[in-house]
Amino acid sequence: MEAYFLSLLILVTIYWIFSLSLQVSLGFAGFLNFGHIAFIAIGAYASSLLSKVGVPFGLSILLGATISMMFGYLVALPCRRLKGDYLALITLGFSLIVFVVALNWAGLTGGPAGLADIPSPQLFGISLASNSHFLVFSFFVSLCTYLIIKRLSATPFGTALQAARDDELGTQVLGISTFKLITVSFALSAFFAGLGGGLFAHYITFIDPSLFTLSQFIPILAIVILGGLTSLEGTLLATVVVVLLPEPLRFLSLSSSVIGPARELSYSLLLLILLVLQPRGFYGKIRLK
Amino acid sequence: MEKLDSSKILELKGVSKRFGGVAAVKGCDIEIEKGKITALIGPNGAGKTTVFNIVSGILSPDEGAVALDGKSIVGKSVEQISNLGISRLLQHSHIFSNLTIQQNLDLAINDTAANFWQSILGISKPDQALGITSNELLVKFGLLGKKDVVALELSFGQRRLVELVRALVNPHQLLMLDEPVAGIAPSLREEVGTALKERVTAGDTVLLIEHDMAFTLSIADKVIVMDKGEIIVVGTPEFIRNDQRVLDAYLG
Repeated sequence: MEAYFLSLLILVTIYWIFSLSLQVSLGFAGFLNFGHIAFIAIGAYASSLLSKVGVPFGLSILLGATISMMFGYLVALPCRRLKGDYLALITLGFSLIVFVVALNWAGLTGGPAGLADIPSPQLFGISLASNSHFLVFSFFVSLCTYLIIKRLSATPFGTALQAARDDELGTQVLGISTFKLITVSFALSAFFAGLGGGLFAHYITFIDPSLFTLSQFIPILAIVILGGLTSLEGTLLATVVVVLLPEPLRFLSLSSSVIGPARELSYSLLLLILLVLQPRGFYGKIRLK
Repeated sequence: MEKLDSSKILELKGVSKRFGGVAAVKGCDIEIEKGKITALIGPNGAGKTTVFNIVSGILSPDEGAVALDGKSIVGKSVEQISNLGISRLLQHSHIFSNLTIQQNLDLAINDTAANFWQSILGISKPDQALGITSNELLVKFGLLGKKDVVALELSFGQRRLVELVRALVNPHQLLMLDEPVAGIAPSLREEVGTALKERVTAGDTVLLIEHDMAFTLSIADKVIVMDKGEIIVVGTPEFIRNDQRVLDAYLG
């Protein structure tokens, strides 16, 4: 039972990172970023592959996050010409491409069979293989992510990013480059998504492409909407709610072929109910056009 | 373009712009003098806002040259032109609706806001060389008490005033205002006029589009009248008031 609670708490910290990083591109920059799950996947695969060739755990998740960050920057480049919904389409396309590559480049990613035997994390000679040790580490990483994004949101950069979300031309006439704002914010969002992805992969020690489909993006999106756009504290509360939401299903005597779809259904239903009843979430103040 | 007379801050030569089959601006020559208020007037569809959008870099001209302080600005981006010294109030509302009044104004003052490292390390410096603070302007327009109110919660007129203040505090040599008093209460229009005249006395230069003729003719030093994409008359407000071509353009 203790192991079960610890694993839930670890999932909360990892999903908090996933959703905090989505807050940067969706909440602050205002783009429906379907690429988010792909940035998580890139961080997960890159860090796992690095770990498997002997790169130390800490370095491999940082490198994974950095590779993901570079993709984040590249995906946002078309924003110079494309506005809002069109950039969302680009991120959707990117997400599908990453999934197809993970599925088919078997030589690198293991294809549908996935990557197994990802080394258990170790840091400064201390094994993080036990849940309690891993929880301490993942909590530390999620807290750092929170503090950095919180700090950023209070800087002129954070304000300018929100200005560009509210009105792109209005921002440009003040002499502020929205191109810079959007590309840097996507890179940043992808960095933390990749960091979360690396943590996730090393926690479960086995990844395959089915973990990074768009339906895996729904719970993260639900967290951000439930918590309220740009509300980082609301995001923590929402993460706890969303991670725990499908858990009671576990205690019903249902076969696993029912539980999986039921989980996904519960997230989608939650998202739908939210959008109808409380579109601005727990603490959300932001009104998008 | 050769180096021009230094009293001219902005110069347009032979500027044309077509939208499909419609010639919105046809071979316009415009000169804006430093330290003056120049008004660009004309009936709806005359091409005034198109001229503004070309100068701001929102549109690129099909033909012609645009120079700020003698240097061509054609082909530069909107933010580059802003940083070269043109502050623009847009015709429709472009306020940052989820930000407070203070945040809206801070962004205008701080040109390095988009710089991630300067921003996160706390070394971005607001431009202080303006000679006027946003607070003074907020007091004038009765908005000081609302500094920390989110723009969404303001009335239309108040939002417009915030945008006007934002354009005023955005570092510039030339202020281009597209309908600054549209939707603003008549009692406050006078305040706006006074504020603009004060700015010009302090060395600012204003180019203005406005449909409120009483307001425009009371503050302008020079008036340029456009009709159907062309400049038809240029002169002082007194001259414009009595010109037959202007009356014809307005009355059809």
